[in-house]
Amino acid sequence: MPAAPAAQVALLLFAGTLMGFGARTAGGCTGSHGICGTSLGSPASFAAAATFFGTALLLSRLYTLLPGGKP
Amino acid sequence: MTKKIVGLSIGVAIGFIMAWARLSDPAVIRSMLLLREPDVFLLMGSAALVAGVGARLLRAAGARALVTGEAIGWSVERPRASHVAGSVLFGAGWSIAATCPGPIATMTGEGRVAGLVVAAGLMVGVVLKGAAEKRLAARPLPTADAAGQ
Repeated sequence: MPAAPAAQVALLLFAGTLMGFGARTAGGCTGSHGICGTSLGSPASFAAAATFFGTALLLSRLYTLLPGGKP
Repeated sequence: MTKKIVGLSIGVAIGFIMAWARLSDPAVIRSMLLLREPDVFLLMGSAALVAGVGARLLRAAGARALVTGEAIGWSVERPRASHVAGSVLFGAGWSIAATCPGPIATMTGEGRVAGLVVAAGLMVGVVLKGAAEKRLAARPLPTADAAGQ
């Protein structure tokens, strides 16, 4: 997260927009696909959960390489 | 009235668990995404296990949902490209904000302003997706724009 509050708000708004657009496209999020859908054995939920976990794990790792990113 | 009380009680319980498990703290989500702490994975895994067993038991018993009164049952979906494409965007947003649609309500309740900001972004994203779908549905040929009409 950047230090400036305005930049933090902009980044969080952007992140929220990505999640809203993505969750509506995918038909669910961490709770609905990740917990509920997988518990009911839905193949679509397993695909969605594997994708958002994979993406988030990879990107989180990449952020640590950014200048100022804490390893 | 009973439905409202049931709904409220379930909401209170979920909020309590989210706060207790500290899912409302972005630092906890961050350390999970960096694979430093296994607790959130264990929490999600055990929740899915309990839900999986519980839903099957309830279905077998012919139980009805507390809030809607519908018989408990479900159908599963085959994966489509939209599940993967949407989840790439979702995962990207998740990795930036280190919170997701469930815990933002808990964050806001704890007085974390970031929860409200992410919630506002979520609304924007959901509305944008709706608008994009509408535009696509209103257009008979997807190439009409590209051809310059």
